[in-house]
Amino acid sequence: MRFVREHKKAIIFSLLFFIVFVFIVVSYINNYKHGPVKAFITKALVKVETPFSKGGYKLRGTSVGIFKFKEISRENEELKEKIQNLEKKIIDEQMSMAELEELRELAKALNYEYIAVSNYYVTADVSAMDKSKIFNNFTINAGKEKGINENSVVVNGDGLIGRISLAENGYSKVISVIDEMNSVSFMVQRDMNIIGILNGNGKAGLQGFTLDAKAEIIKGDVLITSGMGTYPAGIRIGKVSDVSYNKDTQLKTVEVKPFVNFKKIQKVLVAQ
Amino acid sequence: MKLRFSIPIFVIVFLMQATFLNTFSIFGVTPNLPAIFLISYEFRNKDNNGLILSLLLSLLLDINSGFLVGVTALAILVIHFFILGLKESFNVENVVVAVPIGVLATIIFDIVYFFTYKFFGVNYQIIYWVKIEIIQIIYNSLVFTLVYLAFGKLGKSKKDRYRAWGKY
Repeated sequence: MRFVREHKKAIIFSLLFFIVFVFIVVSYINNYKHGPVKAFITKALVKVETPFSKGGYKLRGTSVGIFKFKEISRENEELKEKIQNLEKKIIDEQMSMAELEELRELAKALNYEYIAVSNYYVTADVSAMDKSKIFNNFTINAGKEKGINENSVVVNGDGLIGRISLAENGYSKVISVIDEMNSVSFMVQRDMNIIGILNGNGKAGLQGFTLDAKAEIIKGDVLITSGMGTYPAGIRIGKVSDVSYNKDTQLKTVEVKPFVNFKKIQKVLVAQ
Repeated sequence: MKLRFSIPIFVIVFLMQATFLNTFSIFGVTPNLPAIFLISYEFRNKDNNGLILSLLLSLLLDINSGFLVGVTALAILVIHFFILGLKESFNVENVVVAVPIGVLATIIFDIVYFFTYKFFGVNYQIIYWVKIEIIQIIYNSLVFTLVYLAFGKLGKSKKDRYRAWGKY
């Protein structure tokens, strides 16, 4: 007892350190799984955090509007022109849809089975970002109740963000493509025969390699998803910032700057 | 500082860290508010309320937005005992002394955080982390100075015998 009294602070520190370390080890072993207690806590926190997150987004929008008025005016004009072009494209698409519908009816008539590709997206707000600046993983305020499942693809207007690592009722956790545990298969938009694999490079960017060491991939090439693996084909990933030949692995390696700004994500689209 | 003031302050700070604070990021870096508030609280108060609140809230923060639960709490513990040791040797009521010590404590927080994740196998490049850390140090210094001075106004120091009011 005397020992405990004399070394009270050291004992308390050791005890607290041990408890915290047990938390860390247990969460590491469980990986991304959430038990009922964790799920309940996260659900409650998402409800509380979402207004803060939205408030910050609105404040950023307002302050950008005040300080970058000229830039926003110019961007507004460019967007008006883009909308006009897109409206023309919609008309063309509608005609193609009509043709597609006819082909589907024909497939039914001939008893031909085909796999329907999901075109349904759910919008969600980011409620909490990972403060570590390491993963750029985050929590969104939509989950199983909106048809979101694990490995659902997450995108925004700029391109590919990542996939759902955990889906519960009321919230989901997103693991971004720049996380090193998340790899994505790519193809070059200019030459879709050039394919490869990308994953996080530990510097909030992407790095990878092409499957063909002689592939003519160059700096500035736009990379899109190839459709192999978790992600469907055609989603923009990023632009090649550096190409080099690795003599050890005898593979052409690439460094890629993602299109998505992972430090400033607010709204996302999740494929159902 | 009384609990009825410290609880809402710490809760708001931890909520802001994962959400609202991203609005004020510089090159993607946000100030480490939980550590800054804990250190400022420890400088101005002798009780352990700041530590207890920070530990509980950091566990919630990690559950919600982290990968490993408990890393923030571990870093909080380390800087608490670091501050406890330095408080005895330095006059932390002087802002010129308090700010460098406070910023050093936030650096220790980031080091513990980074190396804990490294220990558990996360491949995060150290050179990139150092670049981020330089911006973090500058940002933390500015925010810490403001928070420290604000805490000085909020909770009067018990060490000041010459204040007219005894209780606060």
